[in-house]
Amino acid sequence: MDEIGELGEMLPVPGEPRVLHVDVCQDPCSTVKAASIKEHVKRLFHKRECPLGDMKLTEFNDEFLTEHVKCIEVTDSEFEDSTQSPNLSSITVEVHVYQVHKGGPAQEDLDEEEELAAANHWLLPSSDFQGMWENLIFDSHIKRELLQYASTTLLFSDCNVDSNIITWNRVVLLHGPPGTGKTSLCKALAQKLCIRMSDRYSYGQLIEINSHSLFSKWFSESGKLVMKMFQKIQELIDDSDALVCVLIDEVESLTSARKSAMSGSEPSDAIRVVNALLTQIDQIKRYPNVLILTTSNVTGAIDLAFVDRADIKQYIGPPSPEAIFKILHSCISELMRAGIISPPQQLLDLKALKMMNFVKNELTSLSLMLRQIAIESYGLSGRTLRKLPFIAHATFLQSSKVGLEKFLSALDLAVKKQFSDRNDLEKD
Amino acid sequence: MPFGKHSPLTCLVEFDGIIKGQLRGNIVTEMLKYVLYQRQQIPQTYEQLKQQEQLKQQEQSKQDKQQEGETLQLKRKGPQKLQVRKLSEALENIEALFHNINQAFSNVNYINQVVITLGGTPISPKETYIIKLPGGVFEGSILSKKEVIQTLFRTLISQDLLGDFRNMSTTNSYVLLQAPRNSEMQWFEPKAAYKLPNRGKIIEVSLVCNQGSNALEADLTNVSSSDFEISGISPLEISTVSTEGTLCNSLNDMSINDSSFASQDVDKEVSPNSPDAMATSDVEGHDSEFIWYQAPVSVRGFRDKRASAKMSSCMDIWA
Amino acid sequence: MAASTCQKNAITLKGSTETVSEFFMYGINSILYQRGIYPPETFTRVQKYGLTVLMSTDEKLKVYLQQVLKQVKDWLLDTTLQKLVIVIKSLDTNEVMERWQFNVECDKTVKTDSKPREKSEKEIQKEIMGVIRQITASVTFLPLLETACVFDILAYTDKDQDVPETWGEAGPHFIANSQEVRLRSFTTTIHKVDAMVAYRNDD
Repeated sequence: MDEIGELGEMLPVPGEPRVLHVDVCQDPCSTVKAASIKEHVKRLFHKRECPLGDMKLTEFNDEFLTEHVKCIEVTDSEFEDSTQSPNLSSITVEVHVYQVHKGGPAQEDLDEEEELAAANHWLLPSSDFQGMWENLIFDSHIKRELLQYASTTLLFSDCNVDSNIITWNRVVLLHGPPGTGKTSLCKALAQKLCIRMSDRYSYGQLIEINSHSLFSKWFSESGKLVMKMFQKIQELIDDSDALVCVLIDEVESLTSARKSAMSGSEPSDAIRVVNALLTQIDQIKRYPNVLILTTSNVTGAIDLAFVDRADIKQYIGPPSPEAIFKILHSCISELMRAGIISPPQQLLDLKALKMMNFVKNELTSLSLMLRQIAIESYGLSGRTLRKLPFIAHATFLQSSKVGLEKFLSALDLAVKKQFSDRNDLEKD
Repeated sequence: MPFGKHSPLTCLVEFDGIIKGQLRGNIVTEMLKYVLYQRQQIPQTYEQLKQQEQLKQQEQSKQDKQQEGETLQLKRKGPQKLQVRKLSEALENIEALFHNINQAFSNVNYINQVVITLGGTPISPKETYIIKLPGGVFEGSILSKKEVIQTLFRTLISQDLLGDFRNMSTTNSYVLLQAPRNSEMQWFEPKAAYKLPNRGKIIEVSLVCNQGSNALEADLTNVSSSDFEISGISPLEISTVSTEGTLCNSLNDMSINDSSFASQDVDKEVSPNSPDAMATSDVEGHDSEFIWYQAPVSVRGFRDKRASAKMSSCMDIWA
Repeated sequence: MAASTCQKNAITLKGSTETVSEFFMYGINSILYQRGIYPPETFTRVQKYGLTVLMSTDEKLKVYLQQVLKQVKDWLLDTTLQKLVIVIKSLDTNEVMERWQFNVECDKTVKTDSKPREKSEKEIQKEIMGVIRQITASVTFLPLLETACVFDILAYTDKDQDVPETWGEAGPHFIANSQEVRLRSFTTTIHKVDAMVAYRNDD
């Protein structure tokens, strides 16, 4: 019952003290109990030795923390956007201690003899997804809302709220154009949830099913595969200490399968497989420790039967100029860390620029230049944006060290080239 | 039913004497070899693979001396590369495991259980091999490595627990050791939340050192009470095979005049090692000081694809 | 999967004889490799029964085994073979170190009774795989053969069999103070083969 109390604290309740979530990654070789680490971290905050906004600490004065902790992180804090510094007394510091599981995905061979690999399987928190959440940049608090939504879902389920009175599903659907980071967001969300819920669930499982390959490759076997896969998933769910996240990519392929089945051009196997999958999803979503995460590249054309099952249908579009600014900002920081942009220079963030009313002076000029690039880049996908610094360097610079201003000019050229390339493609 | 719930298959291996220090590590490495081979994760026994690797290296160095250039040789290497790499990678990982298991046993005194899991992850494996090591350090004659290993495998192979298992596809094999939280375990990573799986096939091998009645007077304070067998007070059983299908009949079929073998009584009573007894030991409480440590390296199973290519030519010879 | 295991094949005496003598061939080769009777580099890997089995490339040995197995086949066809024993002896002292015994139970009614016997090929192969795997795993408990060894093959048949010229009457080659381990068995429904190994108990 204790854990449930803590789960409750995760939800921001107006008027109540607000919660600051601190995620602590314990060293993989450390065997001290989470409780002792929590104590030390809380002390850190009470002594005000660290800021209350988003941050990442990897070095500590506390010897105990140096020995047992790899990093301490605060992400997506509610205070990120507010300008005034919050009052410590009104904040509850919630510490989540976790250790990552190493080793990439395990392929689940579903057929004992033919070794069909139909799903990837991770133990969470996994070292594969470390840092993913922080580096995903989206607009309008999408990440925080998703996290809160998922938390509420799991809280309601864990408290046995009667789903006949209050309806909620354990299905999330992210849709939008390709390259916007939907799949990554699902994985990062699963990882973050496992970290935040580490007191409730001792570990997480992430099963990634690519429905596209499920339908195209093993068409005649699909029905059997779906059954086997969910049999396996059911087994994972049976362990109530595990939070099971099932990620189904490209759900639009279900729709097309069903459509073509209806038009009679495909064998009726297809419709049976789609129905089997939907039935299985309905089966497992009844369990409190399950979250189903789905993505679709096609907006508006998703199987209605599927859309009905999803509670949260979040559109993930191409990033806004603000998000682009953040993405490029993080890319440039990385290049400074690597010593390619040298000497390192400070780039202000948007909040700071706004406080200075975007007035151009010695301090702000480069930051404003980046802002201009971000505005020009609007319309490019997240995937393209993260490639831009590379293209800028490869096409327009090529030297092993470059000043920030010169780099920004190259970046500007790279953006222009992206758009002109795109126009050329459209002409063809 | 590959994923169904099974009651554990148990096997009791008794030793007339005590097993000291490093030998406990030897037991684990030999068990790992056995499981990897018997469950088709390596196409030949570890020793055979090692031997062939050595032969190949000798051949290789000979060839290198003889000048390269024969195109035929190069052609053969191409498609085999992946196989060779899989083999050497598996061997490398097995050796790393062996080395570190032995290290662990020489550094940490109280490793009381070892688990080998086969399957995608150690949490949801297809098969789990639980090796319960003999607890307590008693007076008695010290057994040699030869005696211990021979007794262990004679028992395992006679009981033939794995005999009727269906074929296993290649998958990952993980090794976990259970030891006190405060032990100086190295290389192995602590997994405090790890619980023994209760799904898939579970095979439990309990090793017991027989001490007769003296055992009761021995100093019990060193070990947690759940992990050792007080064999002096319970009837000595050679097998407590769960009655599942045909798995248990190999012993009963045996003719009694095989005197050297049937010298021990066959007893079907439930052992103190039954799954229930085991389950309680894992509940947080008196045993909470023991946690699992997982080897950071796993063995990825592989098949021998090179051999099949040669098959036709060989069959001609033997036809 | 279910479909393939259900495919029953009618077992004939001839087919059963082939299966069993083939098993002996792979089994004996495995033992000779396993126990180091011939140098490991004279063996080659072959895929059989879903296993990697090592087969000798030594010409003399191959000829010898072919001769032996040809005779064994005749006895299997007659349903008169009772056991086949591979004896491993010390080269110097001629002392028997190990005895690999394969007891054969023949269903003699097969000659008179024409009712079909059915068992899937796959199932038989799986059983044989189990035996070969156990033979291989036996190195873990068999004492190391410290001296150079040779091997002999003994066949036990029903009485009144004409003994071919190449086969001499032999003593039983028992091991004093032996330890025995019974291994798995397999059956084709016509021939049932039980495997067992006995070895010197030095302790």
